[in-house]
Amino acid sequence: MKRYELQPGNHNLSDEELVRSSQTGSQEAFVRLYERFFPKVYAWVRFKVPASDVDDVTQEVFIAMMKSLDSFRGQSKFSTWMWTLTSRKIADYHRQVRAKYAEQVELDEAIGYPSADDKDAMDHQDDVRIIQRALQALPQNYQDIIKMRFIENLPFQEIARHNGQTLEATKSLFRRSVAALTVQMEAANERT
Amino acid sequence: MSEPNESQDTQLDEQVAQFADKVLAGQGDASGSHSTAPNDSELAQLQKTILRLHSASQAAQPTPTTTARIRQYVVAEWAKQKAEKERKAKAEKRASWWPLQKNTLAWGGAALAILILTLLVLPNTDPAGNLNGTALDSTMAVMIGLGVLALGALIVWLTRRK
Repeated sequence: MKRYELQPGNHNLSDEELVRSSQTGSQEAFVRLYERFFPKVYAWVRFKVPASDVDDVTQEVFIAMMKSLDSFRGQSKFSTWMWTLTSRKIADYHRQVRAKYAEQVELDEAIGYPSADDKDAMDHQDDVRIIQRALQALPQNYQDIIKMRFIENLPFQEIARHNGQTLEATKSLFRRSVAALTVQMEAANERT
Repeated sequence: MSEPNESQDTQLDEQVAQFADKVLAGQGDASGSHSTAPNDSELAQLQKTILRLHSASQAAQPTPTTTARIRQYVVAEWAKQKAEKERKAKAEKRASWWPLQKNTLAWGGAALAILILTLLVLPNTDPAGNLNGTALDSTMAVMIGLGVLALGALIVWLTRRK
């Protein structure tokens, strides 16, 4: 395979260019890919699994990415491929946990409580935990649009293009998702 | 009757989207709704959720220590995988090279044997240019011939060896 060299100092490469370079052996390109996706993947995993397991699950996502990077052929956007991998690892985690815990109620309890002493940090962690529980109750398309806007920071135009919707339909979906999340957060708040 | 509701929904969709854009661009005011339009209370609730969601997503970011630790592990695994791939590629190259080399040896050996045998059976002439039997007449020639046969057998054995 022809070696795809990175230009030094060029930080405007697309995900796909970094992937090509990684596939031909460039460690620098691989590290850049990692740095680009790690904060987003970590934040999303934080909303989806208990705090104590976030590091492990996130690490597994990137190990899986590393092992299957050669199989990425550019048939979809790399970010789509990456998020599919992330969802798969999160689903694998929940399957393993459900095998340990018989009922959903026990899974909720397993999410646990923050251990930070600082009140602000506790408040934030409480919110993370409440949102975590609330998100679990939402349909997948609601979770996806919330992830795309708040974690990936994609503008509505791009979300609309990704979903194959009009801008108006996307904004409507977003509003309904936030409304549904509000209801679930109130319910989750009452349970704490 | 449905049109005014649709219009209100569309207006609310737009207000919520614009508020989310402002918050994510760092322009959101934590004091809540600025709207004086109808459905203030619904808008205010949604704006509050957006603020909490944004704040929580910031809190959910990894620390620099966590980022570096996991990066170190993943990059080490990447380097191991790369070394393994290179080792396998070299092994495959060797495996594809040997059959070609075996064939070359076999043909070379055969050509050498033919050349030596040809030299041995050529008419043997004395210094005066008179024919004096063939090279096969001498004991040395017989030894050479046996040696060539042994060489040929060795080459055949090498090419058939797995």
